[in-house]
Amino acid sequence: MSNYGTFRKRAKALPIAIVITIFFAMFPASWLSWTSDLSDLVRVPVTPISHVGLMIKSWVRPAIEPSDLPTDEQERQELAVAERDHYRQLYHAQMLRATELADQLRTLQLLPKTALRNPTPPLVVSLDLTGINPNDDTSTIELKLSRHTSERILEGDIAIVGRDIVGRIARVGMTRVELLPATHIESGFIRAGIVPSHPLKDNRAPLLAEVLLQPTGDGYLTAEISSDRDVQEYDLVVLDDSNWPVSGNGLVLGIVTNISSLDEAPLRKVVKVTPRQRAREHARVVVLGTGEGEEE
Amino acid sequence: MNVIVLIIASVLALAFDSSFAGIFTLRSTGSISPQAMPCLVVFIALFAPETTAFFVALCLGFLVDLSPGHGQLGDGAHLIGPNALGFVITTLLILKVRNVVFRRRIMTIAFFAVGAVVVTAAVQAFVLITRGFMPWNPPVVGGGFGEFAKLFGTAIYTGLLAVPLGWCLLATIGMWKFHSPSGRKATWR
Repeated sequence: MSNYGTFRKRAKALPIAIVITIFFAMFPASWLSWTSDLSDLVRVPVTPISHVGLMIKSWVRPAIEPSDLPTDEQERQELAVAERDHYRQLYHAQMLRATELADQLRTLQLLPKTALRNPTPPLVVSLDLTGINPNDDTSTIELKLSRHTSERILEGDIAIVGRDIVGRIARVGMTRVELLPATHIESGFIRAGIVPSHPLKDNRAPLLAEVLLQPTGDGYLTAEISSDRDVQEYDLVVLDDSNWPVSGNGLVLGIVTNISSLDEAPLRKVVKVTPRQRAREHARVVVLGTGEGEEE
Repeated sequence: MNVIVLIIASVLALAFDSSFAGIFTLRSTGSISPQAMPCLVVFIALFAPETTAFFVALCLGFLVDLSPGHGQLGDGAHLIGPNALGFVITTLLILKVRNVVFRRRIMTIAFFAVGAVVVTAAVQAFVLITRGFMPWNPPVVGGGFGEFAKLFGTAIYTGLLAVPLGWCLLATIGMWKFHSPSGRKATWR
C-alpha cells in the first residue's frame, strides 16, 4: 500500500482536468454562457478589494481627458474668458477705489487735529492737474473737475499736497478748476505763524512769531518780524488765517529759508518763506472741499 | 499547503491585477501593466509539491480566465482555458528546473515571472488559434508586432513587480507550509 495514494489520485485527476479545460476552451461561445454566473461568484471576494483599489487608482492617477472629442469646450472657454475679464475689470475698479481711499486716508491722517475736530470737517477730493504754465512758477494751475466732485468744491478751498498748502481754489468752472498757488501775487496777505520744525527737540517757544506773509510774485513769500524773535532757518510757517477755511489752520505754507535785516528798520527782520511743495511738481493735489455735496 | 493563505493571496493578486495595477500602468507605451498573478504562480510552482502546484496553477488560471477583461466572448461569457492552461504549462516548466535554481532568491522569482508571462501568453495564443480552427468558432484576429512588443513589456514590468512581491512572498513562506510528500526539505535552497 502506497503512502502517497492521495497524490496518485490527484495525478490522475490532473490530466482529466486539463483535458476538460481544453475541451472548454474549444467550446463555442453560446455553450459558455454559464461562465458569466461562475465569474460573478468568483468575483464576490475580489470585488470589494478591487473596488477600493480602483478608487485609490483613480485618486492617484486620474483619467486623462480626451482632447479630440467634440465638446462645448470652446464656448465654455469663451464664457470663462468673458467672465474673467468682467471680474478683472471689477477688481481693478475696486483696486483703484481702494487706492483712492487709501490716499484720502493718508491725507486725513496728515491733517492737523484741528482740521478734523472742526464741526464741518473737509471733504477730501483728489484732483488731477490738467494744465500748468511751465514758464511761470506762480501761475494758476488747471485741475480736472469730475462730475461728482463739482458740488463739493467751492472757491477759496485749500489745495494741499501732504501737509503742505499749495494754493486755493480760484474758480470752479463747468469742466475745470483753477488753482491759485499760495505764492501767487493775487493771493494777497496771509496770516501765519512760525513754529519750530522739531518742537520736541527744540527748547524754543512753540510759537515763535505771528507774521503776515506777502507773496513776492516769484514763488516765495516774505514777512517782517520783530528782530527779537528767535526765528531760525528751516522753521515751519503754518497757516493761521481766519480768512482761509478753518480746516487749513495748522497746515504748512513753507519753511523759512532766509532771514535778513532791514536797513530802514533795524528792529525788524525780513524772513523769506519757501513752499516745500508746489502743485505743479505733482500730478494730483488734494482739495479740502467745503461744499455740501455728498461723496458718491 | 495552507489553503487559507493561498485564498487570501489569490484574492489579493486578482484584486491587484484588476484594479491596483492601473496605478503602475505605463500609458505612454500602450498601457503596459504589471501582473501579480504570474508572480504568485511562480512562487507556488517553486515551492509547492508538484501535483499541488499543478492544481493550484490550474485553479488560479480559471480565476484569471473568469476575471473581467480576460477571454470575454460576449453576453458575459468567459473563455475558460487560456490562462489556466498557460499557468499549467508555466508550472510544468518551472518544476523541471526548480531543483537546479536558487529558489529563495528574489531574482529567481523575478526571472521566472518574466518567463511565466511569456509562456502563458504563448499558450494563450496557441489555444486561441486552435480554437479559431474549429468550424463553430470565428477565426482569431489581432496580434502583430505591437502586441508582441507589448507582451515583452508586460513581462519585464511583471518581473520588476516580482522583486518586491517576491520579497513579500518569501518573507511569508513559513505561513504557506509547503511540504514535500516525503517531508524532506532538502530541495529547498
